Amino acid sequence: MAIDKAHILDMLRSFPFISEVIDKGENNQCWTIAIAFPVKEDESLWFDMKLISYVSPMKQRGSSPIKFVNKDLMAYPHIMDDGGLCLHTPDQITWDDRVHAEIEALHEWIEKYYVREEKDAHYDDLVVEHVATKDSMMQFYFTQLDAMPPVGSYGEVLFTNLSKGTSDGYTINNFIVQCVSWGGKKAYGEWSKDYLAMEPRYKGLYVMLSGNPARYNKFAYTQYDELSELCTDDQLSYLYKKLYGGDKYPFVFWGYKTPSGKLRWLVTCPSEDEHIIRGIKTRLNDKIVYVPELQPIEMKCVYADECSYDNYFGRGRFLDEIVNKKILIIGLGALGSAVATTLTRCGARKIVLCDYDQKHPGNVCRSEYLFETGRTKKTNELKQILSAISPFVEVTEDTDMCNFKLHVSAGGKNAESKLNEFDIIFDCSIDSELMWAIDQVKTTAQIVNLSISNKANELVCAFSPNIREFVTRIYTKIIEETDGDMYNPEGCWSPTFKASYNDVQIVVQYAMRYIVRMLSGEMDIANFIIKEQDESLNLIRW
Amino acid sequence: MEEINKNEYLDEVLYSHKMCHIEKRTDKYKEIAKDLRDAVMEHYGNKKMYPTFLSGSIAKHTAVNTKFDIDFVIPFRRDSFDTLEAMYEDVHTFLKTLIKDNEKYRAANLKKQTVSIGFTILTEVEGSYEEISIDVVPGRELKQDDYGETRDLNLYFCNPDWGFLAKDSTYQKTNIQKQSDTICGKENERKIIRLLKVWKKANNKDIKSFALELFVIKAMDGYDGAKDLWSMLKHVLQYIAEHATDKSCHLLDPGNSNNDVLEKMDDVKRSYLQREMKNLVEGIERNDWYIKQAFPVNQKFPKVKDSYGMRPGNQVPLPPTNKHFG
Repeated sequence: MAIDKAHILDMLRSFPFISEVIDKGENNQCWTIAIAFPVKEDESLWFDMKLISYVSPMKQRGSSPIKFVNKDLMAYPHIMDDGGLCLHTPDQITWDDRVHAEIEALHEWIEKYYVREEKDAHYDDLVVEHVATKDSMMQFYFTQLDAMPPVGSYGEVLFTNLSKGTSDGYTINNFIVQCVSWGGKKAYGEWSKDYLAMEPRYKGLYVMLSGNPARYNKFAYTQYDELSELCTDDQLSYLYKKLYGGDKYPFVFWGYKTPSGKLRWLVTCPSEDEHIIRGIKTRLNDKIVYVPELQPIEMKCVYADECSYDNYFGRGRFLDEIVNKKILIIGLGALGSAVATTLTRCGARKIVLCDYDQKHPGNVCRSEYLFETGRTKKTNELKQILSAISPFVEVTEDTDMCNFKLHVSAGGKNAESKLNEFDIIFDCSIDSELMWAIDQVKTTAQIVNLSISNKANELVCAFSPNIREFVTRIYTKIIEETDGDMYNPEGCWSPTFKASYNDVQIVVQYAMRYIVRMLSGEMDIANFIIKEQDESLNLIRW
Repeated sequence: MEEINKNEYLDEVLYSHKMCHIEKRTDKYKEIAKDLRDAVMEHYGNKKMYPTFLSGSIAKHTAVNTKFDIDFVIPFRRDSFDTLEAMYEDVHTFLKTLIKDNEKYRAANLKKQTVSIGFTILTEVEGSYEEISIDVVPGRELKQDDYGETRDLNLYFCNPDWGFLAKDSTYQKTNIQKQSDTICGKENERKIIRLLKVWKKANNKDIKSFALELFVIKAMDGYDGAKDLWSMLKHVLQYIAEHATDKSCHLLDPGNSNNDVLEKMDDVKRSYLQREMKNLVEGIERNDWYIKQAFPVNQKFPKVKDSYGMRPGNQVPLPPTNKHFG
């Protein structure tokens, strides 16, 4: 879409809140127009409006072709370190609409942040200039620790690597920070035990700074010497000895606290060729001492993102009444595995799995398993999958529950205490004998029994107590006989139901929405059936 | 295979189907029926109706705990309604309004049935929800003020093309009191009726209970054989097999001698009944285990045997494995 410069200048002049428009010409295919906004009686705020692309008024990779720059406003919110204003304007098709949207957004910014001097309520992480080598980049993930390293402390950071990523020809080396140690103390990340125990572990160095390592509280420092005022001599001496004492420490973690007291790390990768700290010869009380000093060397920062539980599940999770419960899932077929992954993606912290069965390729199409893992015990694979989804879920296996019905049937004494180990039990096993056995036991655990009919026409959800009676009645009296169109695998197995991943997921997800509401006390607990009727899913409560 | 003592076994069947095992449920039925009866009484008052009374298998003590019904009859005075249809419709309208206006009947439904109005409500019984059905039977005395004496009532037939009635009938004289009295004090007959109800329910047989009841009473009338359960049951089964298709046999409704219940069953139904009875006797004579299939113990309330405390080998009801999946 061709750009009409004269028309754009006319447009700019027509805005009532723009007092002056000066065409500064073109340079390196960037057309600059200076525009003035009167903000006070005798004061105008000038911005350079830069058209950095003439190709189209549309955004490219999220960036508008129009940019406003004023390097004097760096201390203000949403101004980047090149003086450019970060505006998020709506999508536009024509240049007229684009110019309008950008100018309106700029005007709003001026009113809010410059004239009224408002501040945003939320905390924005520092703007860090990251470096990447020719073909790889580093990414650290960290959580809050179970103890905060004190300001002035120094020590080691243990981290380990996740899988490698790739993007646009780069290799991305992903790491998680597991533990920080100082003066005989250790503080661990929030990660699940599996992640904390992951090998191999690498070591980095850390110092806890006395303030925010940033200009305007926004832009992370870019040279080591800028950190000097935030470090103690002891910290620098420690770093000096460790960095240049023979062992290899490829990363230094510079810790600081946010205004709300949360831990953040600026992670740098000191070059082996240039010493970032030097001992400066100084005379002190008639003695020659070497005082460590950070050098004006560029800080090569790598990516370090806060990945605590609240951040990880910040976009959506189940309520605390669910996620903090110990949840047992019995039967890990299409239903059980879907329940397990749903709970995990919604923030569950303690999941116990029970199934004696192995996964076969035929299971993959409508459950959560993978083909590449081949034949394996369902509990083993699902544990891996759940841990891969969430670094906060503790997944264990319970083999006792596989024999629970036999235990109850034989009059065993410990049935109640066994069930009481859990807060919530999803029984997706469709084992009627187990259903009977669980019904026999008084327990503090809330049992949720899930099953579906052929073609996933109905999902039946029953809550303890008296599950068997309800489920039996529903399947004998309410749910109609199907046409017998079942799936018969080879051999003498019983035929299994026919239903796709989509068929299963849609009823499971719908059911989980209400199960969670019921278990968290938002709704009364009631048995229900989900059934598709007249092209919509209906939940029929009993 | 263990030899079955048929008498002990049938005794166990009867025991397991006793209504006393489900007292809380029947109390719930009675409680709901009482509320309805009170509401009806309050609405119509003494000037339009006589006191309601309970009928159905619970009232007649022929109920089994796997299948029972509770009905109550509203005996209206002759001058309350011009027609039986108006009576039936008025009761239906009243119940409909009652349900609509009353929060406690929020989960209730009405259904027009042959002579009654079916009232069903989803209610909590012993921790789980179940549907309770009560049949409301409106009836009108034949002549003004003669109900006190005769207990005769005319019932309206909502759907005359049903059951054993002449297709052109729109009403039927009955005397529910006499129907109930017929079985009064007949303990053996009641046992056999209850066994046949167990069989009918467990095997899902489409045979009218009322016809079976009348057949049992007729078969046992003058019976002087052995008084053990199997002998009596066998006698009744053979009697019905012999007479079900016999055109000279009649089963007269004690409430209306003009109503021949057997005559109103068509030939197909009569020969079906004959066949079923014959099969039962032959099946049980041939194989002991057949009696367990035909007359299953209600596994919820087994009679614990003195010796080992073992339960009989019938199943706890479980969902069919070919219908539910995970």
